[in-house]
Amino acid sequence: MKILMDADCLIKLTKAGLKEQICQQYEITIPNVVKKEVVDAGKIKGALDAEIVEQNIQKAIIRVIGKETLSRMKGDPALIEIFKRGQYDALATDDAKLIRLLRSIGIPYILPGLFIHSLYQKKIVDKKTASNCLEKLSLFISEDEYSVIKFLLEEKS
Amino acid sequence: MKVKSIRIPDDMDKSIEYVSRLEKLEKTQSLRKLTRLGFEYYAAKSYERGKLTIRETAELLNLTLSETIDLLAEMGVKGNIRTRDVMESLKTISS
Repeated sequence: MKILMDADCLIKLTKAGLKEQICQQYEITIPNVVKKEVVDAGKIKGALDAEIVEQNIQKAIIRVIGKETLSRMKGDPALIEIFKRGQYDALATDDAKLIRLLRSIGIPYILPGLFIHSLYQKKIVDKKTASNCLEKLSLFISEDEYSVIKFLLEEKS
Repeated sequence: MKVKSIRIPDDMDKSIEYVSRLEKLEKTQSLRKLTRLGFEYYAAKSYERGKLTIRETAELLNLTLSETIDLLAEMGVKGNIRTRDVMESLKTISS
């Protein structure tokens, strides 16, 4: 599955220590504007997640796209434009306002918590590992998102 | 820094005085601190209600996205996704 990822989803998965596992199962691409927001701006302020994402980019675990053509566009519009130009299956985000926009133009989206559910469904991780991952992510996702995914994990057993 | 002349109600003046005394700050510093905290709360609530994206929230607060996510989490705003959004996303990942 080819995923275009937004900054908030990328940062939340990185902070929860789940990004590498997810990048192994999905083809993750970020726009250059997201790289600038997460890595370049983060490094200036000494953010640990900025260093981790930079290493992922250097190791080609995460692909960066849209270097020249969309350099003047800001985050959300650049993200949508790149999605339209590429052959992506979904856009990964955890932002309600952006989701409303994606819904209105028919772009499918994936929430960070649902990556965990998907890894469990595909039997890549067991229930205990999935639950632990969800707990780590729970610091950064809404109560609704957490509760539904917890229910889905419980339901499968 | 800009200089502004404003009228402050008595109860707000008491709050400024209180913080100033408690934290051993000048009254102007206390006012600046409370204004910032108030704006952070306002921005956090706007994000929580889905009126702002995380990017817009970060820009308003002049913070990086990572700092904004940490600040929001500290304020108890861990995200703004509703059940309906999760169920719709579930269809995408299951297809």
